[in-house]
Amino acid sequence: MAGRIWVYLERGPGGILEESAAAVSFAAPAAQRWGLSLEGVCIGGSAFQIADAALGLERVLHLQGEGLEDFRAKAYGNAMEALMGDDPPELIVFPSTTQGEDLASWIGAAYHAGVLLGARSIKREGEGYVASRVEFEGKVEVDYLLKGRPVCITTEGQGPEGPSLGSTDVEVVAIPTAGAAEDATRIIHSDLVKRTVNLKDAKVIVAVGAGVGDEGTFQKVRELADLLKGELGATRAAVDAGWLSHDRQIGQTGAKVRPDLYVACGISGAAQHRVGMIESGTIVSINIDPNAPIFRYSHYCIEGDLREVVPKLIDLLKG
Amino acid sequence: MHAAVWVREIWDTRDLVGEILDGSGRPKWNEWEGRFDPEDLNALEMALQLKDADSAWKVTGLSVGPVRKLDVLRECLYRGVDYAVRISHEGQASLHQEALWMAKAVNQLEDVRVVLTGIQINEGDYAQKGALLARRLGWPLVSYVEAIEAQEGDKLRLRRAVEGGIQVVEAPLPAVISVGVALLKEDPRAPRSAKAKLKLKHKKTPIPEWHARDLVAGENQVGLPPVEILGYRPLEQREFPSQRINGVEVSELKRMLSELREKGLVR
Ligand SMILES: Cc1cc2nc3c(=O)[nH]c(=O)nc-3n(C[C@H](O)[C@H](O)[C@H](O)COP(=O)(O)OP(=O)(O)OC[C@H]3O[C@@H](n4cnc5c(N)ncnc54)[C@H](O)[C@@H]3O)c2cc1C
Repeated sequence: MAGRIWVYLERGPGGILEESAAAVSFAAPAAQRWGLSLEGVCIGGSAFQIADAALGLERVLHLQGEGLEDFRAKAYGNAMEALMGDDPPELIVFPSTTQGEDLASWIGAAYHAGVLLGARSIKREGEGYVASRVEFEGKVEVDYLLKGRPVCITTEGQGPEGPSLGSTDVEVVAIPTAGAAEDATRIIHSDLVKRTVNLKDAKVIVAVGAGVGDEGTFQKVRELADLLKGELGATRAAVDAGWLSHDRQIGQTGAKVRPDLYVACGISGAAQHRVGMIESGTIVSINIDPNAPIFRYSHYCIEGDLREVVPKLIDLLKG
Repeated sequence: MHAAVWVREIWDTRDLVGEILDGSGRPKWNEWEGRFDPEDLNALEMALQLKDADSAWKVTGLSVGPVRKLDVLRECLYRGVDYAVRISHEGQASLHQEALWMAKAVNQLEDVRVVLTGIQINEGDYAQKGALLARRLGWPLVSYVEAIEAQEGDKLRLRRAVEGGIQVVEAPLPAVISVGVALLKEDPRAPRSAKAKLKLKHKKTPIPEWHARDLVAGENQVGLPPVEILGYRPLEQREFPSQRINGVEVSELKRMLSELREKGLVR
């Protein structure tokens, strides 16, 4: 049987995740170059949802069965193992998500095969694959040799064409799957928001960090964002503190943005935040600490207290 | 009831300045400090909280490999674990091997109902260690856990952070729990500090070593590690021609805004 590559099609509240469509576009040129077929794997959900994100795939294997509606690591891992048996694909590409990390690692352990979470590139070499990843806070790229079968990677990368979401006539093969019952983990309650903003398209972003401190200052920063015709973004610390919802988080576990103007308000500039915003056109940061790391990554470094600086900026913009 | 925590010492690679690679293109590991993997420390905290809530729990810290600069197992003792075990081995170990040895060690401990570990992917960590271990043990896995909300008999109710929100999950024991990031002091995962009393008590407490060879004795060895690092390449860094602005000076702020206007960034 000719070699094949699988892409994991992850379902979210609004259908197949765009991250999975991006993973398809990442894998497609590689499959073509290596003469491998490219198939999608989706677990649970309805076939209707799948058709929306399967552009570029030869077919989609859709695992269906009791207990596969909600993601549970062992149930989904077992289902994929049952599907592969002793004839796994050469390579499985997962989106860089919590599910992708769980499953890529799970299957790598099951088959004693190479894994790399967060791969940036992949090429075939001899018996295995060489995949690279960025480490040391963006300063070094590391090459990993991945052996065995199936090699499992997660990636945030995408192909030159980018993800294409849209209806297509891909063949969806329904595969009845049992075994999920072995995982007695139960989802009691989910509180998920559908993404309401697309920060990727924003020209101006005003981002809020833990330094905002109080409601009054937060409202001032919001006013500043309005005046700059910008979207509000946030660090993880600001999201955890409840200032903004998760869909506005920027960074390693949030959106990667590149607006023309990025204004960082009370943000220290941790590496996990930087990876999401360092490619912005012009970066302005306001911080009370003259040694805040964010200043090393800013064009304009405003030293001062947000409670003073933001109202002044508002007055100047209104004036 | 026994909770095991897989903890590690990692290199502190935060905010490194200057060259990262030496003349032969390898990271300058030995120039850096060691630190307790911060999410492993959160996992330890969660295990200790189980014990705080119910004294029937015992907690064991487990770690693979020799101490480099910081003995994370001793740090576990200083925070209140009941036992600590070091898994020793020769040469380099891949995460696949570490997970295998960890699974064997967990099976040798008595009545382990839960293994907790952190989710952080550090330099060289190619996979999630909690997931590798869960598959080795054949146990359910719940990852990115923020809090143990309750224990109900042989089940834990867990809150986890997933894309776009949170999920509350009931996990039957035994299970593996991977614990996420705690950024705020009031976060339930925020780790406690070492206790002075325990420091005195455990300064010299011997930590038993179990050799990896003995853990897998009599079994088919797993094959060669399927992951190998081939090399490192420095990446070009973006330069930031930057200006300092005194936030108290309205004139300086005004000048900045007019520069931004000229560039069409502010209307
Ligand atoms: C696995 C992992 C994933 C992560 N993913 C992300 C991610 O996707 N996105 C993300 O952002 N983070 C992420 N983080 C967290 C990251 O490491 C940092 O903890 C976080 O970015 C810090 O947010 P902050 O800058 O808002 O808060 P802090 O680091 O607390 O900084 C607050 C800043 O505000 C300044 N300040 C305080 N008061 C004032 C004032 N009155 N006026 C002006 N300045 C003031 C302080 O000087 C300080 O610099 C992740 C961490 C891990 C381990």
